[in-house]
Amino acid sequence: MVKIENVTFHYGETREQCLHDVSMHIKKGECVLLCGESGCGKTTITRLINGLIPHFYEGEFSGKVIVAGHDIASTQPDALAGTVGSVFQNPRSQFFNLDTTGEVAFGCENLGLPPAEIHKRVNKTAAGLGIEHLLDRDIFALSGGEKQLVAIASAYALSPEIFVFDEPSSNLDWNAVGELAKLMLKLKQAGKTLIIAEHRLYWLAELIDRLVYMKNGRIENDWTVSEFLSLPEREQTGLGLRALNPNVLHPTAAQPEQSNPFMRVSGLSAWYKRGEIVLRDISFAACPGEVIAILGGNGAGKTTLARALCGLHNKQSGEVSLGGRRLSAKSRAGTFYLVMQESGYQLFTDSVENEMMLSRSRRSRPSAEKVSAILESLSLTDFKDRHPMSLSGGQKQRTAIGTAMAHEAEVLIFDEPSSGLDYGNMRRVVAVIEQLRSKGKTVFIITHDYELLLAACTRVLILEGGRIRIDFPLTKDNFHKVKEIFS
Amino acid sequence: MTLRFDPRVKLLILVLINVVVFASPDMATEWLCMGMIAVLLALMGCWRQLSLGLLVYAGMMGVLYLCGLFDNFLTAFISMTIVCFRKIMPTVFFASGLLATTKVGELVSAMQSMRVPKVIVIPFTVTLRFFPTAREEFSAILDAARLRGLRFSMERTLIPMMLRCANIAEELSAASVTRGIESAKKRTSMRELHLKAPDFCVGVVFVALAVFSVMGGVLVLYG
Repeated sequence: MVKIENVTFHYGETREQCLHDVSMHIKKGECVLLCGESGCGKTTITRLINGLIPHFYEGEFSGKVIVAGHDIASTQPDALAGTVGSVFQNPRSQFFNLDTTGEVAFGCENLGLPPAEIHKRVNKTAAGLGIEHLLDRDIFALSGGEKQLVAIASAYALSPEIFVFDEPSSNLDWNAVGELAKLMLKLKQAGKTLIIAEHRLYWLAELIDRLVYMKNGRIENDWTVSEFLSLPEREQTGLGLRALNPNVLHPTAAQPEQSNPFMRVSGLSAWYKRGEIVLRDISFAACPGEVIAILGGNGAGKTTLARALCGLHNKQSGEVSLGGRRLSAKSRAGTFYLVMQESGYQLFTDSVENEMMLSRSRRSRPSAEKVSAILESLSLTDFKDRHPMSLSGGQKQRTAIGTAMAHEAEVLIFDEPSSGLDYGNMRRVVAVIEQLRSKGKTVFIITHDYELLLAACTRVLILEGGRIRIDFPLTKDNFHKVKEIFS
Repeated sequence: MTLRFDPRVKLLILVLINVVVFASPDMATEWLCMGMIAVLLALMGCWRQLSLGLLVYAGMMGVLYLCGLFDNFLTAFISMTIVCFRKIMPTVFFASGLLATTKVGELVSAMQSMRVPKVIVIPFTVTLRFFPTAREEFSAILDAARLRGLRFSMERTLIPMMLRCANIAEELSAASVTRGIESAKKRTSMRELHLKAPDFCVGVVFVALAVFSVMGGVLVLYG
């Protein structure tokens, strides 16, 4: 179905992320996982298959790619639209329409199918994938998971034989990942060929037939799932991959030594303009050195809690205090620091070092020694003169954390810090969090990442409908509770 | 009961409103135009856009009236600024209703059936699609600035925003290319376009209004 022969490629201007003499064959109906560290070339392979390379992303290309009988080099991507369906990483930037039905019909309309046929296809797609409830909705009102299902539907409507997925689960919570996995299983059962580039592996164990492991633009290994699982554990972890089998994981973060609450929240509520209440009467206390996971489904109030704590959400009532001193919402911004999921938003200057120095007034500017110590501790010293926008995702994130450290933030809240990160970068986040807790900071992590949760968190707080449903320390005795949530 | 108008008629009306505003002989004609748009929005069931638009417009008129009472440099400056915005009000007013009732796919097909070239259609629709995204991006950057205690500045807000938007625009284009946006085949629309009686009626009414204002507007009636 897909033949890639001796392909070498690098992107126009930059020399990074190339492919070196890559060859692989994928049979009809196979489900292949492309895995490896960030920048290993797995996304590039998906772009070879849907024709974005060499037609959309230009660069130096040699070799041959044949997809369902089409030679990619001489086939325009629109001629492939009915053969290869693509689903991308970021649900926010893959929709052309503002409504879901229009989006599902979009490809058919582009290819000039008759209106009656398009109607039939839209209905067949919705029924076949079980997403009737998602038709006729406003795209901006959907959750990330729902958007991803619509993205699959809009590819499915063109009835392609091949689907390529580029990190489809990066922005999804665990329920949504479950839904996604179910849907992909349906595609597989319908005999479609699936090619998936992914970091998070656990949800794919049931689905995939083969694992293609890439490193520095080369295919290093090509295993069947059973071959991979029979590798000795040490060899598996040496590959720098996320766990395929989550049952081998267990909590590893030690409980904090101190037990005097430093931060107290009492009766915190928050609402939106139209009177819609999103947080109801939240109360808890936290000690320095605690790392608290905030869990909950879509709409449970996780993001609003983070924004309310940091003083970014105006419509709130209740009290928040640090060390016995009550802080108004406005004065919390900065002392409570939010590390956003896309930390690129948080960087404003032209170099990493200037980013640390940037402050609201001359008086609050950190000293040069302090900045260089922080850069050193985050392994950013080598990058101190680089423009923040030229950094990788993990480096941007560490720079954002650095600015919080430079300005003496006491409470750090991470929003999905490991989304889209490979194993190595995820471990680096864990190490930075360890560092923060050893300095006596209080850390919150909004996450859907089971691996990160077990590696970094000491306590679990679950929100439901804007209230705290459960709050327990993450110890060996309580481990089964977490397992239940993620099963 | 709400009426669904053909997107082609809506685009035509948008152009005609611009003609009216451009010719804009007098205030009375402008009011007439606003009134007709208000009726049209009511027919299309856009109550929110209708009330918001009229409120903003009334507010502008109010401030203009107050400025007229005092004659100094400041009020002259304020009224000039407001007059500029008032001039585009009818277009914005109708466009808000147009966007609320028209799907992007319909708009693309409508423009194509009017033989608008693809090099115009695609950027136009991408721009429409882009406003809500740009708003989300902008509020995230403002949040980030607040966390750092930074005041709003062009350099620090707009440049990161433009970089991010460029990124999103590229991803968006890649996604639409894989869905065949560049296909040479004639595009179809799931919702078939038919001109019906109400389309002709509103079309004729707005053509008449445009002709009327080019000829001199309400003032002509008084000789």
